[in-house]
Amino acid sequence: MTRLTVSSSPHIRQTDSTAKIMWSVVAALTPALVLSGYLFGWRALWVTGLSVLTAVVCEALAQRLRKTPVTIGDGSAVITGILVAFCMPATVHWYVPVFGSAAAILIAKQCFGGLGCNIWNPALVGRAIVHVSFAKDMNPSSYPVVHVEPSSSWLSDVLRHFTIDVTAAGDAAATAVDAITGPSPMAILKKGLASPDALVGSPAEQFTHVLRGQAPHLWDAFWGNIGGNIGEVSALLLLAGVVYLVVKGYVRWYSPALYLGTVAVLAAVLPLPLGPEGARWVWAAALRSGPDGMLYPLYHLVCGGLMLGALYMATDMVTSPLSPRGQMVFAVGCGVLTVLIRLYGGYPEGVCYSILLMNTAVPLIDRWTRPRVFGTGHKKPAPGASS
Amino acid sequence: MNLLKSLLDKAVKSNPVFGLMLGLCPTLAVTTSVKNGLAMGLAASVVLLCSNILISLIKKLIPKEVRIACYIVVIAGFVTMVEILMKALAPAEINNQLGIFIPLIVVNCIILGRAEAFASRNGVVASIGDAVGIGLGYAGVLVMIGAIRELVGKGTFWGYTVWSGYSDAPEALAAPATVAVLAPGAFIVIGLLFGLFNAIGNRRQAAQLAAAQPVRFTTSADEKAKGASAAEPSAQ
Repeated sequence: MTRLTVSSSPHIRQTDSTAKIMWSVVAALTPALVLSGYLFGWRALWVTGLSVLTAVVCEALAQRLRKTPVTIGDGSAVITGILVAFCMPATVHWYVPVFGSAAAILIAKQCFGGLGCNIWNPALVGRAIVHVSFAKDMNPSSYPVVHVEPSSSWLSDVLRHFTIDVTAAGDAAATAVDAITGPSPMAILKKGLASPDALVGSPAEQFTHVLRGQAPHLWDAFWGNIGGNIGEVSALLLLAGVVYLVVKGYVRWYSPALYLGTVAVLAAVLPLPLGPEGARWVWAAALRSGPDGMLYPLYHLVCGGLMLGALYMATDMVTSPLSPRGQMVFAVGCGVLTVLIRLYGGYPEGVCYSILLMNTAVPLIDRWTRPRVFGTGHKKPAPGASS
Repeated sequence: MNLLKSLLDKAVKSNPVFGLMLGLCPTLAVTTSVKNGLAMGLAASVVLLCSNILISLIKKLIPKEVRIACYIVVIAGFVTMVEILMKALAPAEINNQLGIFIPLIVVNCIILGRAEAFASRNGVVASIGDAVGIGLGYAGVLVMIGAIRELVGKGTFWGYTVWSGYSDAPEALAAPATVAVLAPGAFIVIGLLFGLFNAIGNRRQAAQLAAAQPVRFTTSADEKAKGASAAEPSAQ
């Protein structure tokens, strides 16, 4: 006799749980962590481990104090710890990741009610706090750079063809120096624009001049062979991780794509002089200077914290808008603010503050982009009007 | 004893910052160090004391319709005196740090609030007591916040180094977290202190409620009130 199972809806259930999603993100971040361990040595892993440990302990402590269930097993605190550590150079003192993680979990997350209730991405708050607290640690004049001879693959050859040669990497290999130090690419981009000797010729020539002189090879910058913060150096591995998340369906592809696209377009367009001069420059860049004209926005994409921020922080489920349309607005807003801060602001890097600012605007965006309930009315109500 | 108790009540229970949530602007702005906090607290307390006395003396003369304007004029007069005195007597460093916030005591809502809520309805002696209690509470809070921010943010107390700043040794014990003396640090410290005070207050209230609960017939409303205060999270 067959039994007929009668149950109430819903009958189709997602097997995804918070823990499953969070641990997937941790898995997506692991390649970048492994690479930074390879590039910066044990120090990078030690900083990350310390940060994760602090985050988890603080989470447990706060939840115990708040008399709520202790949910350190869901991995959200682990992600915060990893992301906080990823935002700092491997050379920081031990208290920098500890303070950053503790601030992220205790102040930005648990004070606001824990996972799902926080307004700002905890890791970014932690980063902002240590950034103003320990400026010397967070903005070293030079980063350790372990120059590894780039592998010769068809992809690197193609990219190499499009980019400029920099002698530093070659020199380091030739003289068998294990590690040399150098300023971060973002500092080069910022200082290069500001230095008076760069202000000769058209913007294209300026950038080319500056980049030729100081910046690392674009391929190196892309896969991670540059000075920088622990988790921010390798755009390649961060992208690989996010592809995994997109395939799993935890991240919608258009959010990071719009963020990165906005930054690329604005970084290419905004520095142009206005009027016919600008148009002439575009043609010159496209025809005469060839791919060099595209270098500047490309460096903006692969250097600094943009990849980490756009792929893993701006896509945080808790602190980004709910609807697809809202997420698009959010991503474009992040991109605009990032470029404005990078090009015209005081800081060389604007990813952190741009995402924090847009996090603040999320309730507004959610209100404006409220989807129409199926079957109710044909005309969209005025923005902001209550339903 | 009774006087002391009422003073303490004013300073702690109806603390201007934590109890009444008044005067938060200078509380956030000038508490970057113990010295600044103390100077600001004393200046505001002196103005509060003087204005409370004068207003309780002339309360019969002030027409009701324009009382706020009259209070402000009285307060502004005392603030001007304090400002000139401080410029003459206080160390230049403190004057520079407090800057605009001394003249701004005029619009400090603690002082106006006490004038309106207490001095205009009570006698001189009671008004003095009120001013001393509230002033003590305010100055105490400013010193406390200043101490926390200075210790965390600069590693000093009253200008003396308590724990090391940056040293060139690669593994210094720790460095002060500069954020505490910046504007965000003010909000974070005050927010955490609010949470702490509320937690202590809630716990005390719950304890009082439990102690005051005799064996008697309890209504469901009582139970609910008790449950609500007990279920309040202990920390923010």
